This record gives sequence, C-alpha cells and structure tokens, in this order.
Amino acid sequence: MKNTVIVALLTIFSISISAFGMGGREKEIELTFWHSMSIYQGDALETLVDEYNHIHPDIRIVPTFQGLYDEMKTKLVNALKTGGTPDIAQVAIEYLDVFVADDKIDPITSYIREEDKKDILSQFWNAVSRNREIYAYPFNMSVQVLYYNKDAFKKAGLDPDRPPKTWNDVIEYGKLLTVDFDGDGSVDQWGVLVSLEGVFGFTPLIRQVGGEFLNEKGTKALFNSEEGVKVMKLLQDMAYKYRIMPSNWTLFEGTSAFLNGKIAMGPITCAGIKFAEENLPWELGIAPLPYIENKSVLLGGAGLVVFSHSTAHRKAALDFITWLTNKENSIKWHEQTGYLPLRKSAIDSIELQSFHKLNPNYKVPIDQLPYSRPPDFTPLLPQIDRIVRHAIEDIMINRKDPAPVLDAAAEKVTILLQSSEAK
Amino acid sequence: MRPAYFFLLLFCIIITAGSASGQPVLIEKIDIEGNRVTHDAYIRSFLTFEDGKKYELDTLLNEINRSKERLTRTGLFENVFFNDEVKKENAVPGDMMIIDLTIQVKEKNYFVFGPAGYLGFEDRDFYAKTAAYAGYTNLFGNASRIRLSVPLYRDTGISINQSGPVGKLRYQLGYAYVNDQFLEVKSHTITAGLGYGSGPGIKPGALLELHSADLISFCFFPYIEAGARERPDRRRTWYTARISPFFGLNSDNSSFFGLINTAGLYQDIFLKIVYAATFEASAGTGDFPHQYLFYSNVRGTQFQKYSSTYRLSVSNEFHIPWPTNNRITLVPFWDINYLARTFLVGGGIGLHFFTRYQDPLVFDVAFGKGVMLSFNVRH
Repeated sequence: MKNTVIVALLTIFSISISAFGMGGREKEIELTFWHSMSIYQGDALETLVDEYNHIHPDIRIVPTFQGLYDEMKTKLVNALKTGGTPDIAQVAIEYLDVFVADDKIDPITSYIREEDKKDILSQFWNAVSRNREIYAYPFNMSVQVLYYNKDAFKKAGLDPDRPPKTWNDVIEYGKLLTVDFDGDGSVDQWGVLVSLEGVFGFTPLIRQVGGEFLNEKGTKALFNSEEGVKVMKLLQDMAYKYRIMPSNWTLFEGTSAFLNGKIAMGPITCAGIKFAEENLPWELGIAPLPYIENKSVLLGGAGLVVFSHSTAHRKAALDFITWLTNKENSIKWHEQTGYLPLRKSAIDSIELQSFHKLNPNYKVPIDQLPYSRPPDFTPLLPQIDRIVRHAIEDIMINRKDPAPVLDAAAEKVTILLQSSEAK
Repeated sequence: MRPAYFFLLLFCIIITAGSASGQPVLIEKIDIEGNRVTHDAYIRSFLTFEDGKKYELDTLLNEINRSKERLTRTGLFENVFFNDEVKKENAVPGDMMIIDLTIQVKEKNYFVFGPAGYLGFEDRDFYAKTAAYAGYTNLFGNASRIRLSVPLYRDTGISINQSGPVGKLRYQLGYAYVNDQFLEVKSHTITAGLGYGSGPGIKPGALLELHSADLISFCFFPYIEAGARERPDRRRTWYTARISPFFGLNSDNSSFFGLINTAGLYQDIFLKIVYAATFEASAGTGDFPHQYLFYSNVRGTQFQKYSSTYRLSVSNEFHIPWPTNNRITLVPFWDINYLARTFLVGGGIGLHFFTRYQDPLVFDVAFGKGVMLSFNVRH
C-alpha cells in the first residue's frame, strides 16, 4: 500500500517539478545584458526579455542584475580593466561620461534609424549624447514628482485633489500636515521631506530660482551663487523655522517613513509610482514637483550601452535595444513601472491615453517633460556629489550658515574640475 | 476689454477646450493579433466599439478601458494591448482622426495539471488520498473548460467536468464515479448547471445533481453569486459571496433541504501581502445521503472523520510574496470548524508555486488533530 502511494506521488511530483524548467534549444548568438532593475522593475524587464527571446529564435539575451547604478558603474569599470564586459549594460546617464571620457565606448549615432531619432523625445537623446554623438539608447527615464498622502490631506481638512503648486504652498500645507497625534511632544506625522541627495536633489531647485549648478563648460561650480544660498535657506526654514520637515533623515529613512504614513509629502522619482500605487496602505496622490520661481525638474534614469565590439554581437544588441524601446514596449514599460514613455507615438497612442484615464497619476511626470533637464554632466560627478552631500549635511544637520559652506564646497569642486581639465 | 470681445474669447476657449476631449475618431479597421487558440469572434464579442464607426476620443478611451476589462476578466490572457496606427492625423482641432486598431493579446497557458490529495498522521494512524488532475481552460477557443480528475490512491473512479464559455450564459456538465474506501460507498453523480453573467457583479444560476449510491438522490441548488476572487484593478478590499438553498429528493421518498452560505473577504494589506478570509454558515435537515453531508475542512484533521448536517467554518490566510522570487507565495493559515457539536481548529503554513502548468501548485503543512501534508492545483 505504502509503495503505491510513494510511486504515485513521485510520478506526480516529477511531472509537476518538470514544469518549472523547460529546456530551450541552442541559439546562434548569446548576448549578456547587465541591468540595474530590481524587484518589480526587474520582473517587468525580464518579461520583456523573455518575449524577445521567444520571438527571436537566433538571439538569446541573458539578463543579469548587477546591482544599482553605483555598483553597476564600479563593476563595468573593473570589467573594462580585467576583461569580461557584457554585450549590453544599463548605465545611469550621469555615469555615461565616465566611459565616454576614456573612449571606452563608441558612439552609436550612425546606427540609429531616422524614424527612431524623430520619434524618441529630444530630451532623452540629449541625456545620452555627448559632443553631438549618441553613446547610449535612452531606456528608463524618470523625473521627480511630488508624492502625497491623500488620506492625510483629508484628515488635515485639505482638498486631496488640490496638491501644492509652489514650495510656499508646501510650507502652508506642511503646517497643517505636521501633527503630534498623541500629544507627547514629538511629531508623529511630518508635512514634507525633501531629501536633498547631493547633486540630484539640489540641481533642480537651483534652476527653479534661475541659477545653475556648474558653468556651461563644466569647469566651475556655480551652486554657491545667491540662488544656491536662497534654496538652502528655504530648506533650513522648512526644517527649523516652520518645523514641517525632519532635518537629518536620509532618503532611505524618508522613504520608509513615507510608506508608513509618517511623511505627508515628498519629491520622489516617478519610477516608484507603480510600486507605490500597488503597495501603499493609503491613497496616493501624484502632483508636479512644486516650484520656487520657475518650473524645473531633473531628468534622470539610464541608457543602454553596447560594450560589445564584435560586429555580429553589436548588430544583435542594437536589434534588441531597438525592439525593447519600440512604441509598444515603451508603453508597456511605462505602465508596468512608472518610468517615462520614450516616444511621441507612445504618448499620443490610444492605449496610453486610455491607461492614463484610469491611472491619472502616471500622466503627471509626462506633463513635466517640457521643463525637464538632465544634470550637468561631467565625468567627476560621483566625486562632486560626495562634496555636495557633505555640504548639505553641514547646512541641514549642523544648521550652519549656507553661504560659507557652499562657498567652501564650490571651491573644492572648481579645483577638482580645473585639475581634471589641466590633465 | 469690451464685454462682446470677452464673451467671444470665452466662447473660443470653451470650443477649443471642448474639442480636445470631443475630438472625432474613426476606427477604420480592427485587427486581432497573438491569439493562437482563442477565436477572433470570441474576442470581438467583448469589444464595446466597432470598426467603421466614429467616436469622440473621450468616449473611445472609455470604451477601450471597458473592453480591456471584459477581456481581462475572461482569464484567458496575460496581457491585452490596444495598439493604434494613425492613418490620418487631425491637422486642426475638430478634424477627423482615422486610425486602425490592433488588439494584441498574449494568451496564457491553458493546460493545467498536477496532483491533488493529502497525507496525514492522526490517532496513531497514517492516512492518504491522492488524485491526478488535468484541465484545459480554453476549449473550442471560447474559454470553455474541461477538467479530469482520477483518484490514484485509496479511492478509485473518475471525475469529468465541462463548462461552457465565459459570457452571459455559462453551462456546466459533469460526471463522477467514486469508489470511496473510507466511507465504503460507490457512487455515480451526474451534474448539469446553468449560470448567468460573469465578472464581479451579481450572477444567478442553478445546478441539478443526480446522485446514485445506496439510494438515488436528486438535488437542486439554485444560487446567487457576487464578487470575484481575483483582485479588481486597484481595489484594496474585495469580496465574494454565494447563497445557495438546496432541496433534495431520495428514491425512498425521503427528502432533505437546507442553505449553504459562503463569503470571502480579501484585503490588500501592504507590500502585496493579502489577507484572505473565507466564512461559511451552512445547515440542512432531512435524510441526507452521505454525498450531501457537510464534512470538516480544517487542514490538519482528517476531513472525512467529521461530518454533520451543519457546518460553521472560518479560514484565514495571509498571502506573502517571496521577496526574491515572484513565483512563490508563503501562506500561513488557520482554520476553524464547528460541526457535529465539535470545534475543530488547525493551522500551518503553505507554499504556493506559480508555474507554467500550475496556477499555483499548493503545498500545505497543517497541524490539527494530527499532522497533514496536502497538495493541490488551484483551478
């Protein structure tokens, strides 16, 4: 009797387990694809890769998650020294210069079809172009938007469909949204958190008051200007004068607090909309990034770089990238992640318009594209980012006067830029 | 500004703003792509717009969303995508835009198979019951289903069930022969049913069963259902409910009747963790043949050991997606029954594996009056 059971179970289990892995036949070209997309973004990307592999019997794309952008950059730099670079890699637009400066990658301008050049938005091409040559194919592009907790708005007596438009509005709303619910003297819900993560948080705000981060040639820091000081004073006021924002929280702490409903508003990348909509235990509102004087948002994200030098592999890699960023996939990628659709044809499509009718939060970042700009590119951006982070921490946590701190940081950055120029 | 100019300007603004959402669109052609099994005509029957017709853009977008929801609800597709090709742009606002629409569907795998049954140890005794299950969910290319189940151990027999297309009317036909070793009963059951409606709305229907064991019994189950087990788009809480009175006649002129009430509550808690609770309150009276008694459904306790003409049951589950593998869900659960004047309680942990052929394959380890490993394919 027992044998019957064992035999029956083994048969069934082996059949079932075989369903987990179905072997495929060998393909002519196998391309390694290093990417930085984790969790649901990684799932969406791998679904697209599977579809490509399914419909292209001669090419097999092998995607591998290689950590987030910083880690990816380090791995690529090491791989370039030791060998073993992938055929395709997803490189953050701000790190593209690291590879362009040392001629580690070749331009792909001549390989791009005219119709793609016209259909993909010029902002995205600008983000992956250096010296009038295109070095990457734009893929996952994003802007910051204001995430806000509609439930907290309702509790504070604010209209959840009328989010703040300017940073002054944010201050006024923040006063109502900063609450000590249990009366123990410590704040249970903060109005806002602006996580000034170095260059990326600071740059759009300087631009909003007419300033710039670096000069046009990328040889001098300008962030210590009157505009830069004005931005930092505004943020200091939000933390210390109006007490609507914690002064010493990291992006990670802020994001966790936001998920738990302890922060009512905050600028976050649009790439998180899908995750937030599906996982937050309260109703999410998305609004354009508030402005000080002018509207300006930072364009971020990554492009796909072809590292392979073999003609057949380069051709196959570009075929895959062109497919991955075509109209249909650009729409799917936007719907499944929140990243921006790349193409005019995608934005105007009936599919996307009907999707936005049901999911209006996803449309907000697209409406911000006309006033989006990437950061000021330089191969020294990682080093500059570290200097700026220290300066911001000094101003926000140690409550130092912004002007001298920014002056000192700007001097360091300018010396760095000019010493690199001299080499 | 003179009032006349002001009103003229206001009029122009209203006309311009109105024309943006009321832009006329002509759908010249509708094509369907990606359907290797599902019939074109069946897909078209879910569309709420037609080719050769003019629509205002806003109306068309609403109709596309409605059609997409109806198609998604059939359960046949992983993805439904409406791709448009603009044949003629609108040069000025108010001009007719002409488009071709292609409905691109990605079909699911329709063949499902796997094990069903349980192994347990209770009161110093091992017990087991296993079966093999196979099903096809898109028969005739119109979402008709066929399911076949064959007992492998303890019982012998066969069960076959076929149901008609997902649409307004859905039929169901079934036959089962079971030689139940535990109850020492051989039985034949023929089932016929008809249901109206699909999706999360109100769905009435009825089932007729002819059951032959020691007696021949004829049972009638009218029912009303509402809600759906699948999460409706963006809802955090959803539910299912079913009320089914039943009335049965036996060949010895005895009879039985009662009421079966079930409800399911689903709550999306946080980070895709879903709480699912199932409640049941059923009772009847009269001369129940064994087939229609209420048996225990507490995992961890041998199901067939406890039966009654009534049952109160609650089942609680947390569905927790595995952080690094979206094909695995961890499901802690606990079940409670009250029947035959006895409270039964059991709990344990389940693993749900989502594979190409099982959606999902469920393994539960449960502790009740004994310990039980159960496995089945959700269908």
